[in-house]
Amino acid sequence: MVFNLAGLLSAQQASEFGVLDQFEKDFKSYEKDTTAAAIYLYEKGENYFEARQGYIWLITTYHAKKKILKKQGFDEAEIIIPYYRAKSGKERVNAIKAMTHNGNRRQVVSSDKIFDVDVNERLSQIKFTFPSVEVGSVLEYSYEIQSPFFYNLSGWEFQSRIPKLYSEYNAKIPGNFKYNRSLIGEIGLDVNDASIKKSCFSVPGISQRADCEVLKYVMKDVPAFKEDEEYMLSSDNYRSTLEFELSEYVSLDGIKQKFTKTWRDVDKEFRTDKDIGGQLRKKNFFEKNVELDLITGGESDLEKAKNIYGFVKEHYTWNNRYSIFRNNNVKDAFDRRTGNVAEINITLINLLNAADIKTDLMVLSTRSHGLPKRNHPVMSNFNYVVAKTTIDGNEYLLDATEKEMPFGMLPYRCLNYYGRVMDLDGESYWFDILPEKNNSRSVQVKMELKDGKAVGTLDDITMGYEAFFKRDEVAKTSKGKYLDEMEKEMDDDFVIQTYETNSEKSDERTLVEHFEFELQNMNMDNTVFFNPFVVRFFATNPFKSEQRYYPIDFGFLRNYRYMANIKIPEGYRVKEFPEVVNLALPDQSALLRFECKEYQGIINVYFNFKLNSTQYNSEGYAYIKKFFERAVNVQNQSYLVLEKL
Amino acid sequence: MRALFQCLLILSVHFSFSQNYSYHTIPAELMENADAVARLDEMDIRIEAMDRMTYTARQVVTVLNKSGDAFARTRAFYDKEKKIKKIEAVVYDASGNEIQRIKRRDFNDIAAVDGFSLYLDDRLLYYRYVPVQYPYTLEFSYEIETSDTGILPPWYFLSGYDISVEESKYAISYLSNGLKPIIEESNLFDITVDKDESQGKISYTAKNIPAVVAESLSPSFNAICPKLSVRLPNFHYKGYNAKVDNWNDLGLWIQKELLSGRADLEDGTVQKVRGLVEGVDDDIEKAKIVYQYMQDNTRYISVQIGIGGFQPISAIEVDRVKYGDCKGLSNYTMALLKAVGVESYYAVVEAGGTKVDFKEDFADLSQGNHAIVAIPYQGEYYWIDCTSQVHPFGFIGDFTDDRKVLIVKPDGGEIVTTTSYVNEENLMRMTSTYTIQEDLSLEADVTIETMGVRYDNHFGLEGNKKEDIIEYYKNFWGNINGLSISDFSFENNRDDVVFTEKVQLKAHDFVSKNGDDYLLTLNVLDNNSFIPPRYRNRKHSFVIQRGYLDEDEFTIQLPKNFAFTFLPEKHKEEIKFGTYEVEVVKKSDTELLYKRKLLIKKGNYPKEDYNKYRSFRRTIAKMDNQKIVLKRQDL
Repeated sequence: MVFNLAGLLSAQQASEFGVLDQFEKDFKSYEKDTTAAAIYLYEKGENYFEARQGYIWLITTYHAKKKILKKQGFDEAEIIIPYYRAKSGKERVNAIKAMTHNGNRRQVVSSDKIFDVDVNERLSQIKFTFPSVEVGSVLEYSYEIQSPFFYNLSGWEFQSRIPKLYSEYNAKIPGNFKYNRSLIGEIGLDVNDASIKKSCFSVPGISQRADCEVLKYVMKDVPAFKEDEEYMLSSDNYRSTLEFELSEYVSLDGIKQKFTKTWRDVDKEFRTDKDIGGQLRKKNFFEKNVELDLITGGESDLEKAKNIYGFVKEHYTWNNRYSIFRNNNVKDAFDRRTGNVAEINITLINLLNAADIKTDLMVLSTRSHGLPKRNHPVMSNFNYVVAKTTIDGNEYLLDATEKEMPFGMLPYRCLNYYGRVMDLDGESYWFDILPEKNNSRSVQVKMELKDGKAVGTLDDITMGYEAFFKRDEVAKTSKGKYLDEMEKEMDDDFVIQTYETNSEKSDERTLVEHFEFELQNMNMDNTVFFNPFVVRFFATNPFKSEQRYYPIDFGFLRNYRYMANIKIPEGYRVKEFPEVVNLALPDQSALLRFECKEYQGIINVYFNFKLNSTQYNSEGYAYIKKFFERAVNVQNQSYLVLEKL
Repeated sequence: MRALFQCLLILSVHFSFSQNYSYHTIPAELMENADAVARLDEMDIRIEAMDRMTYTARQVVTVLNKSGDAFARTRAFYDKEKKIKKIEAVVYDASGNEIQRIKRRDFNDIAAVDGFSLYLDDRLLYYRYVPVQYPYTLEFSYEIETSDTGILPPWYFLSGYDISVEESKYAISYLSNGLKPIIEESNLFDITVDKDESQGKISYTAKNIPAVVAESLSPSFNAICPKLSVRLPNFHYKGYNAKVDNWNDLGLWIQKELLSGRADLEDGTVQKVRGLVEGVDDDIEKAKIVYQYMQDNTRYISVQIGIGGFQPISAIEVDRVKYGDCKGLSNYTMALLKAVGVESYYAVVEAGGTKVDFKEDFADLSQGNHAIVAIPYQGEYYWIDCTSQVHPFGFIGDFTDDRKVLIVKPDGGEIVTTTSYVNEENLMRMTSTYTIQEDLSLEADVTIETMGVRYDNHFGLEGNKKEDIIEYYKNFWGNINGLSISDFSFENNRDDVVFTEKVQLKAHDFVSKNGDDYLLTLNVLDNNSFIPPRYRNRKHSFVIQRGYLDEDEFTIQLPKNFAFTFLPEKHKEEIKFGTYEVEVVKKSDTELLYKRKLLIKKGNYPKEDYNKYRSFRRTIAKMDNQKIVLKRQDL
């Protein structure tokens, strides 16, 4: 068996299109993962440079053979090859070959069944599907992409949603190109070769030939990548990938063009880049275009900063785009009153600097985009910018894209641990993103049971992110619809009589909503079972999987409190209370408390569910799951039992 | 005559400019429940010849809040036959001052996607406008010229829920009597419409239509919306002419232009299917074998090219690549059936969970979005959906059931109704023995049998991955906290269309301790908590499209050291919407039998009944959640 496999691997390295070996033909199921519906038997990609029609192009070749193991794997027959165009040039997909192997029968995908779709102004897709797909089919395809964008040599994804027996990546990089590289994920490389090949690259008309670095990376038996459920950072942090980033290019006339190498280089580039550095120096424009009061007003710096922050939020509507390194024009955006993340936050930075509040730009990566590499700059790791300022010794991170976001808080998407502050006058540095700590939802209820109804008041007090989410929801729709939604979330018999926000007790980070409500159709028999939770924080446990592959990350601390004062109705007395619950995870990293007490004819209900950490590792998953389970149980299964006197 | 006609048009187009779109002039009654107000919604169609039509549309929408953005449309579709001659959008602020003008060159030109097709050959121009303030007004106008007169844009006086209309104008003019359109008016009784018909022109104007709010269980928007359906009896479509007075004619046209010559098969394939049915005489038995063969050997892939997505790819081609869309696979299956001497008809249907009928007296190409096959047998039809690799023969589920469809027979089209699944036919029978353990956990063996559309909702489980099945059960029994699934197995009886699931499950802390009492929920396995939402003033009738029946029997075993105090009385309620029956029977000191039956009846019920229905559902929700008190004996 071992012998067979070794033979297979050597054959694979020189796999010829259209030819399957016996092993590939016979392969029926994958012992290491019997749930796999399809598998890559073989996958190989290569990058190199080549002169064609007087230009140098980046060439990517790709060749794969997938075997369908179960009917559920038929989706794997649909192939999408993305390619890009820009004003400066466009990519081409050449030499597409695709064929289905069923036993010894081979059937090619004809060219009229290969579709070219322009998805938007930058992205196109080649799309096709394989004919005669059945369980046991081997789907083989290959193509080449010819690209003018040298930064598109971006690496190799070893891991995908189906397992791979063998995945190989090669690159032949002439000495005049330099790429930074990093391996992500837990799986090691089976082959990691680098060698120098002399005189491997030439351009017609130029006699000098360049040496190349020849690279070869292989992984064998790569397991399928499993996606987790809720509350996680980007799966890009965990998926096995080899990342490349262009750092330097020396053109044939000897001019060196540095992309990214050290943070010092990046800092320099930022200063001169027209989309970032250039945009940060539009102080004069803003001084002319805003009310003078805004930047020269006599208040304290903090008040001034808050006014400016409020002004930018109000002035702009975010167009839901990030595009931070491209197409930035703050002047245009300012006139249009809409812009991407960079335009809005660069406006903010300009205005704060115009008001003599020293503010820098911080680049970061959103939660879904993965954590940036720490060891060297990989600029494509960043996809977001915010403002970083210091006022009276306190440091603030600001993002003006969300209208309801309080000063000093970042949107949830930005809560991804750290970013890099690009100090244009000095050196850039890492800076931690510390989420607002004070987030909570407290519900305080006072009610009375009478005439088959429960009548009372409810104060819903939210703070931090919880308040932001509420405000954002209210702002999106009309009050009537908001209340309808609230009622729907509660019990069917819950009717909101009046609603108001308490503006005295509310501030930027706190929202106090006051309701008068009625709970109809109460059953007042001799014995009354009454669940005291008018509001439930979770109806079901968000964690359902048996297993967790990656850490749980909540982004910010959570705290839910429910307090109720319930007047015991005339002629009744308390028969029983639900069990007291007092639970904690090790190191008090999570707490759950629940207790009911009676005092002078009033029942006091206290419930608290608190997470004291934002991240829990996958080993702790079972505990967190259980903890949520208990919290759900307490809310759904607790009854005050009253009996008639 | 013609010169005058065009002059008038130009005049009318020019005339309607110079309007003020200030938000302040909107009447109060149009602001109620509205996320947006259509200030003017105008369509002007000119039929110039059987193969030439131009239409101009202008929509001026004042958007009041973010939810209203969807009504400010800035997109227009086109294809090979349909050209966008003009397109422009203008944005105004709350007072009606122009703040932005979006010209043709600002629009993006991209391929259309529908989310499920591999390829479509339609394209569109669109502009993504980001509002900077509310309210704002967006005026969008375009002109389209096309040689296709087979599908005329329908006219909706209301374009959706939560939008009111200040003025809606529809006009269609035609150059000669032979081009006169047929117009069908629906639901115009609720609004005030001025209709004007003169030589060569028909027009409608409606003013001040208040916003309609979506209500749970109401008929579909399409069924209640005031609208016009318009068709030409003599039309041109994608290069073909047609004269259609009724469905019979349209059926003949489909037969001749779209289907004929596409049902040939290679000899090898013909011999192969004939071999499969050798020795079988009965047509339905033969058809079953052919359907199974088709299901085993093809898959569904949507590629929409050619006659506007109306013409199937040929049977030979499907046979070669072993995939096709609904049309291609239907046509292919019909070709296979023909090869074994079984007659079948191509059928066009409006598919989807909501039942939509073909309009019997209004034959046009715009109806239908799916193709299936009808097999006539002893005076009735068997229906098969060829896009499914898994459905049993003759079972179409809730995707195409119980609705009027067009079948294309050799002698013309005909409207017939597909198989229905109603009330008791949609049965879910659940039986279980469950044991409460001393540690208060639950262990249960559950058997679920489903039929009718319940079968349709359940049998797909069989083809899923194990982890997805477990996740499915965790959601299916989302009301059981701390649930784990120990084992499951399925039996799919395709002949009788019965799906059986056997599941073993566990849940810890199932019985909750409350003081000295222990609370046991009797029915957690088929717990129905659905109560339709309350409306202070319901406007529409409510529809139960299919109805269903639940029959449950659970044997509940308690640990020896527990005893129950009292049992709830038998409850039975029978009203026009259905029947609900629950009974708990004491079998021994530690064994109970729980029996439940819930029948919900198909029907279109008046709005006055809505509260009664809600209270019926509330009773069910409460009774399904009924608990009994257990006492520990050994303490």
